[in-house]
Amino acid sequence: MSATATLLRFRLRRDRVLMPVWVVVMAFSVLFVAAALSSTYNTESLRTAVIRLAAADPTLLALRGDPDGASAGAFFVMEIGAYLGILVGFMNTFLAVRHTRADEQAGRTELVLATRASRGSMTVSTLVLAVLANVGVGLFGALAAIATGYDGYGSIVLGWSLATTGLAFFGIGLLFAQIFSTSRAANGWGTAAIGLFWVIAAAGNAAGTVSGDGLHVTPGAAIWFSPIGWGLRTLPFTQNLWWPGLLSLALGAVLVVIAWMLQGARDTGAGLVASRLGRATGSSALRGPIGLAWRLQRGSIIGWGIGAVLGAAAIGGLGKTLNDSISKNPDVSKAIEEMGTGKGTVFEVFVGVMIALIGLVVAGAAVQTAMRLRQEEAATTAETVLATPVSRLRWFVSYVVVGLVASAVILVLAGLVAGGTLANIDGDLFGQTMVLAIAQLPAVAVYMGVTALVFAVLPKLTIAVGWIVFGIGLVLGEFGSLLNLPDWVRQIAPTAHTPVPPLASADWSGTWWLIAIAIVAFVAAGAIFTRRGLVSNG
Amino acid sequence: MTSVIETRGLQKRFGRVHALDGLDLSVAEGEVHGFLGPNGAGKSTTIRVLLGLIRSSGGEARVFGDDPWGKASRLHQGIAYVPGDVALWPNLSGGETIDLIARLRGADTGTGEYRQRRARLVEAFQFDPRKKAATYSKGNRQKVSLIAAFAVPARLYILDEPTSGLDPVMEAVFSEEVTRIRKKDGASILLSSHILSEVEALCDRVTIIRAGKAVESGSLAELRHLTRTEVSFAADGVSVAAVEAIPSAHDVVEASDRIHFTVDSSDVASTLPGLGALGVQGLTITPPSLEELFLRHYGDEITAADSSLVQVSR
Repeated sequence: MSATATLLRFRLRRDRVLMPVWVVVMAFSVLFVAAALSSTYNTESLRTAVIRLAAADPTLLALRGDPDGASAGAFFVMEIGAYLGILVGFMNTFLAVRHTRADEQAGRTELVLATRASRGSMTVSTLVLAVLANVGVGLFGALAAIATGYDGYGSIVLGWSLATTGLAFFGIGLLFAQIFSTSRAANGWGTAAIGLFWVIAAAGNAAGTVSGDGLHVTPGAAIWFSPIGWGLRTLPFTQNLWWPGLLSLALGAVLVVIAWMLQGARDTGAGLVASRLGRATGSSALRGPIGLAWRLQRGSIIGWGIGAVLGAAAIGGLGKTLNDSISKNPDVSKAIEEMGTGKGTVFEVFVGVMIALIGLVVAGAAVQTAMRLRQEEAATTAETVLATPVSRLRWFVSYVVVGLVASAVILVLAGLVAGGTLANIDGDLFGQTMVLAIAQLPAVAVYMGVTALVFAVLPKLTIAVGWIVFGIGLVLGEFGSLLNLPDWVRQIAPTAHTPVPPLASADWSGTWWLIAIAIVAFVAAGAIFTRRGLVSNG
Repeated sequence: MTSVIETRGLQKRFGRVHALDGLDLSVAEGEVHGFLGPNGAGKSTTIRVLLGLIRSSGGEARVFGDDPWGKASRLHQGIAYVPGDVALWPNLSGGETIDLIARLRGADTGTGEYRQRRARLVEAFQFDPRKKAATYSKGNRQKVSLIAAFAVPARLYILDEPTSGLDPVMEAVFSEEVTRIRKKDGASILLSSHILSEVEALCDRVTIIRAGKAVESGSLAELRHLTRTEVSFAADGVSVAAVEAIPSAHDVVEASDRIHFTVDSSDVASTLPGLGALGVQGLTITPPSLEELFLRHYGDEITAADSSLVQVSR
């Protein structure tokens, strides 16, 4: 028992910065979005109008959530509930993997297990840490909602939904940490699970049945197959249900028990999915630095690529639904157009926004490829390559080439899928969608170029700054209009400068700027990097 | 004799830390040069400067007569490198890593010559090339790096503590390979180490480095002259005072029924008649080892620290 307590104290100390940061980020997300919503949609009549529009548009229901009345709190949950679920999901899967598989892979677990600590105490101390972290998120999330002026009881239910959803994802992370022998694989599958459960919840929301007054939507059955869906179904501020959270807790508990059993049945250091034997010799693809860069990044690139292509398929599917509902309710589409930027029809705006989001997903692949430069440098594997006749510039350029070529290929594939499905509506859409998708490449290049520049100038900050840049792009792209941010702030996101439909009148000047900025960033990064010494970890 | 490596007053600062503080190092063509020093003395930093991985802060460094920073990739065509702390790509197998490094070094891995060389090394080092690098122990990671280095001929081998993590059998295999590349290819080798027996067995010349400076440099024979030979014999009836009367004898002590003293290595022969006159029994003469030399330089640091303490207390 004392070993468990010691381990717990040690884990708390390890996460003494990270956990408070997560809790603060969650609480501030609540505060910030709530504040933005209360300034933009400050009257019930305004919210009613927006909800009625959204209820008629399955796309919006999928990307936001099903409404349950027009109160400020309910409106808040509709807008951001699912995203808070995703955020708390990441916090928990990362936490579970960080304290189990990552330690084991680094050989630290062996050090601990050679003492009086048992395998069980490793899991128990991680579980207690996760409970504390989620209680923290729930508590501060609720306090943030109360501080905004939302109903106290509803705020506590909101906190409960966040904490319980979080613990379900903790169980998922813990399970993957047992199954896979590397933390990279466990985190990758954890991320995939979060994405999958969001898609399931979104499908449930999109398939909802609208009530007579147009203010309530009862989601489809799919929502009951996702912890994110359970979190939403606590319906904070309206029905304030506790029991959907119990579903999350039950799932988390079952998974923790399974993980516990799996751990008892395997050797330390091993995974359930055994590490397969590799090739005895290098294949011809593993030739120069480009072959190596591709080999190292292909898992992550393929992952982002699948995300982008699935997103593209969703554009096709949702586009069809949207088009049908527009033709049924011409009034609605007219109203949305008036609310929008005034450029293009509802349908065109939808396609433009979705393709920019795909651009952002592809940027994830490119940014991670640029980050790999730093990971290689920090792990000193870069030195192994640079001690051969490969020059610093050639090594650097290899990663840039792999990132940009892979991005271009993914964008073309996404364009084919999105364009192919949209062509059912109108044959012209195929070519247009394709052009729009490829036109995301300059924005992707800017994301990658900025990350590469950080790598050259401040190598130790590459990973952190890379994710921050990507995160800012995500927030601006996804929530820029919702948060009613000023135009100049939204313009920071590179994807805001890609052409938007209708293509005939699209503005291409942004594209040239993006290309110019990307070139400057890459050239500067290459020049600076080749003039500095390598900086390993520490 | 031309130098393959030449540094003069080499400096490297990391912030306020002087990792290299005026290092002179010279490795001649065709020699195996031992690079000795305690942990943190600056051996790996020197090597990373010589490979152009980091930039020196001052002084001069030449590899094959060229600037290792500016001409790094061209110079590397003739260099094989085994890092002190071998990091590998976790999801590549050992065999893939070996072939990759060989290809990056410009070798055609399809030729019979390469395959033979590689197969012989894999066999000699008893290495399983199919396992993923993530599963290799430290010794096996070391083997990957050694096989990759020896599988493609080079003019200069830079080996940073190459036997750390290897068992004694593998250490012997390593020594054989060093002897082989030296005889067959006439290559030069810079061998950093703190295993003195290894350096004594393999190296022609040695540089001892401490706190970023070379404190001693020369052939093993030259360096041996710097230390004293230890002489001891059975104490039966011979007094310490009688031995102290021999002019060349230093530090005479009696311990466990034997009398021990030291003489300068050049005075051994002239000391013997004196010992003969005393009629000593059970005489042993121990030639100086590198270890003593090393410890003497290393010990200086401790002495210096002690004397500074003494000064403070005054």
